[in-house]
Amino acid sequence: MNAPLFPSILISCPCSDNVGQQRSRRSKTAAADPDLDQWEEEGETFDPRSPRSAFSLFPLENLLFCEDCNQVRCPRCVQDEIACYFCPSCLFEVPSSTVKSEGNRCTRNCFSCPICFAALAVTATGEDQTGPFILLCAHCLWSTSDIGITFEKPTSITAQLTAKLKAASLPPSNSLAPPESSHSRPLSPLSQGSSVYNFRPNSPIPPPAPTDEAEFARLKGYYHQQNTIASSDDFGGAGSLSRLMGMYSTGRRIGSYGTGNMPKLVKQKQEWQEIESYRVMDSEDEVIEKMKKAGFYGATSQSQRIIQSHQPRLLEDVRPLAALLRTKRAKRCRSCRHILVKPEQKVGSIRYRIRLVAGLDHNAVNYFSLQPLATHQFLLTVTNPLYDVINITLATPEKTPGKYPATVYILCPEFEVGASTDVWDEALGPEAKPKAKAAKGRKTGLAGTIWDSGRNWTSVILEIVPPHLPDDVELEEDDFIVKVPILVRSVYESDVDKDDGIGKDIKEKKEHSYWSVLEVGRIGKKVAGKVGFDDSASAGTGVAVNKALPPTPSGEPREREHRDREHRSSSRSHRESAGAAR
Amino acid sequence: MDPKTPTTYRGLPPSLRTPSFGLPTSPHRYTPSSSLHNHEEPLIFEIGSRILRAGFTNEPAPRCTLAWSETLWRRVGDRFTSASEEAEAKKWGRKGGRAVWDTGFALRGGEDDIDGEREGRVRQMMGLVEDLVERGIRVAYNKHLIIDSKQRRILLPVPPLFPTRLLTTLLATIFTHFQAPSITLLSSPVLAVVASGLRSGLVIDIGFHETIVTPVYELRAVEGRGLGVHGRSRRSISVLREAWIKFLLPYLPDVTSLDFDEVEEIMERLGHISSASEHSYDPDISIPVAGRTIKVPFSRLAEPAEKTFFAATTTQSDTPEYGDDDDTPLPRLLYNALIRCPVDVRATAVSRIMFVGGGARIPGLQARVLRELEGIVEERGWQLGGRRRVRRGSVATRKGSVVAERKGSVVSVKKELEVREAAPGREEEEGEEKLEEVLEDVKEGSEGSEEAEDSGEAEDMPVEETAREMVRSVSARSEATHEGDDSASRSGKKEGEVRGVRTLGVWAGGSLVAGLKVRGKVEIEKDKFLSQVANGGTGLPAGW
Repeated sequence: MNAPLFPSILISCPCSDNVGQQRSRRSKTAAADPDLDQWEEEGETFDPRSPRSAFSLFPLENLLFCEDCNQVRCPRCVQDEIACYFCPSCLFEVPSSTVKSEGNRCTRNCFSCPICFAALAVTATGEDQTGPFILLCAHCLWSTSDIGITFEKPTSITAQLTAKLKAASLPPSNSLAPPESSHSRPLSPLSQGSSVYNFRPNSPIPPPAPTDEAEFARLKGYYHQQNTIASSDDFGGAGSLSRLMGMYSTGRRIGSYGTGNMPKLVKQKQEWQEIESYRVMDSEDEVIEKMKKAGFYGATSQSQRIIQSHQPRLLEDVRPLAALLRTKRAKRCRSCRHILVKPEQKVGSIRYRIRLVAGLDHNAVNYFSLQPLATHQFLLTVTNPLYDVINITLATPEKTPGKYPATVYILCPEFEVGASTDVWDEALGPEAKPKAKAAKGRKTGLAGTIWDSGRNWTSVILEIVPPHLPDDVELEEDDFIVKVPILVRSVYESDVDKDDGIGKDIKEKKEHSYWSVLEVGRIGKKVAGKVGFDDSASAGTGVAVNKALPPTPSGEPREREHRDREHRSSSRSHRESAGAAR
Repeated sequence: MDPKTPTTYRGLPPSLRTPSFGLPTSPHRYTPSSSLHNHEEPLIFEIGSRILRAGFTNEPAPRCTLAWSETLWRRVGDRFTSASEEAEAKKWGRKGGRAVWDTGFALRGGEDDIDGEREGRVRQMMGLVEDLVERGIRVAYNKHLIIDSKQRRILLPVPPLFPTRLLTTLLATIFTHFQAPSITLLSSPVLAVVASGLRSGLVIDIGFHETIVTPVYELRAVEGRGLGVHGRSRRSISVLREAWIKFLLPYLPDVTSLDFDEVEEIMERLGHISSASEHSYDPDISIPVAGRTIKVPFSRLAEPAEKTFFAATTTQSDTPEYGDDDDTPLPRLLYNALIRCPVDVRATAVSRIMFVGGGARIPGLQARVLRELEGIVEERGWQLGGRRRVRRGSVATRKGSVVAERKGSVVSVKKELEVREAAPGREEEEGEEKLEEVLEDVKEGSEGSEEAEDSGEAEDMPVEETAREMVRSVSARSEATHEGDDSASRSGKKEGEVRGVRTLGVWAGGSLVAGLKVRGKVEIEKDKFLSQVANGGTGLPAGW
């Protein structure tokens, strides 16, 4: 986890611009303010500091690419389709027919810890691996014996657990008169008189409070019964409830066939009744007493509480969590329905049949470190994964958005990147060799020229002057980070699909542009001759300002950068973003 | 749904029908168009500003309860070291504990919207709501429900007076990103009432931004009558959190701000309202906060919640006895809402008070609210409301001066009655007759003056009722006086006992209602909604 925060390159997916909400917003403002609309259409500089950017910026690894739409597809603009269900713990493939009835959870022996959410293991507590058995968390040492549950056999834990929990919910004092009887009584239509549960403290022996689950079952049964009664008069049906819920279908129905024919039925219609025994609020003194005893550490944390369906307040009430099933999902492009990812159906396999990863179409970047009001030069390397030569145009605002803008200048915003041919071509190919040599000879650092280039990559210089941050103003962490939005436009010619037989040698011009955000680094304090860094930025070697090119390698980050490049140029995989190379 | 869709049963004489065998078929033979989707039961999504609950019909608990935690706000793929994680949380000048939306968005920034600045802000907020809700629902679908989102209808409980714009945003998000065929909107207080097995009640929803009291009568939320203003209070979880911060800071010298998540954790684990009984055992509780451990007696931990929900005012004020309109303590808020109800509704609702929302989880809160409400009722009774209502009426209907005048006369008659009551022994028949006369006048008057629109629904109708109520209460009182029993004349008890009822909550109500195949008042279909929204509408049916 000690991965450096910078550099990072993030690609903006334009999908948040074309969903329904945008349409609504646009059309809403279109009437009121046509200027605003136009302004939105033209699209100004992408603002990496906007709170919404957290939802439209993605690292390279998380993006897919739809070849049909020629567009990046982020996790939110794809449609998921479930291929299969399986338990992540025992890898059992669950047939889709039983998934829902089993509550999307594994019904074998897979449980996770209610405290730390790690997997629980069935452990024998007796001699020689004999029972009783418990579920034990190897991470936090919580076990089911903490809540007083042990199992007789090491198999079918789920069934045993259900039985034990059911038994535990029946209070021992009332075992003679199980609470079910008091539940079922009001369900009988014959029962008269209102019986109200009185859980107030003044009643000597409070009847056990039915659990919410039991109460739900009781209400459900009751409502269904009401429904049956109401529909048995041949008229109401759910109508009486529906009517009460604000639907006037009953009246219409009378109009459609009821008039004249069956006028009496109107009278017979039964009202939907209130349940006769509802739960009066109980005193919570007992709960408070328990809380007092448990203290801070005996209570469940929010995350522990909300993950359990019965929302326990205290740690003594938690239950082991049955493992949630997982799915393998195919992903389709939302606009053209083209399949972007299709995993192998088999659970054990991690292979994909189809996978169109956007990484194949994008680039990687490296960085140096920052001091206020000094010119920093960065090498921006664009790698080409395609088998065609691409022309890149980079555009960036002169001042980055934000309260304290940094000045940005790209020395050579337009350049060409060679095709991704075989690695050996560079070394052996008669044509490739002189070209590579010529490229390596540059390194002048003059405006309008590239810094360096190789077989399928080109480096250009990016100059950044970070702002001086005032000392007297309280700054947010965000203000320290230099974020450079860059509009990348790539144009290339590729062979037209030869399937149709017509365009054999016809080349098609393809153009693709997107916003990306380069988080270059954190601005340090301006201390004479030294640069202060946040420890977490891991670039804390303090690079002296060096306007001469190339900057003298004086620290670990520089070396990494070199390694990076070697690695990249020798590898066929071009997904080595700065992040992946770590 | 399309009412024109033909049905097998329409037109058939009822006698030909088989007497109800299957209850699953009977409900929807009358709602023909819904049969298209009925084999697939709807999903219930309860989207709150802090919590998202999602699950299936006929299940007692939601399949997933998701907090809108920092992880959902985070950028995809961001790797954090612990230090930078904190930095990220600081990013907004707030630490954790964020709500998805703020219902007060339209009010902030003053009245006039210079250069569309506020509009811009609102749009950004709506965008954020869309982004976040999309992410949350996607997690719910992919991780917990594990179903294909395209097939299922959705049932969405909506709180009363929910901002239309926010609702449109939510619906648009669900329709665009998840392609649900239709969304049914149901009123969340009504669902809470259904989840208690009753048909009427008073639902108090203690939420993150505000507390809303809604009377429900015969499965309809009572609206208007000033409930939108007087049934709401800013006393809510966000205020409670502030109170906890204020409470904890004195224990921590040299700490100026606390992490919201940390405070919420303490608040959730230890917050309570002490009951009236004396506690002999009062242990010191160790609380880890801001990197150290403090010890606080347990009984003191009730203070923040007590201050938040029961103090006369939560803001600095020179006249704390006259709090702001939006700063009503909970017992008073309940009283205010009840007194604005028609008498029948009030009589039913007062003994069926149910609590929902995050605040309902604070142990001891419900009992305390009810106890104090009982006190208020005992002290003031409901007459004051009657009297006040008439007076308010006469002020409010300044336009319809006739009505006002007549109403005024009701007051005078009532005063007369009271005078007479003070001197018992005199005849009362006369007074009641006179009142009846005036009443009729008032009735005619209010019918005649249609232009008294403002006060319309809230004020006109209850005039008669009010007067009758007055007659009733006055005569009740004088009867009591005759009997010489003063305590019985406090008519609060007559209307019904103040009593709380437990509800399974809004989500469970939705699950029950959906299980009964009831179709909501408002059912919104995808294509229609999206095309309406594209044309600049809200996509919601008129009157929503």
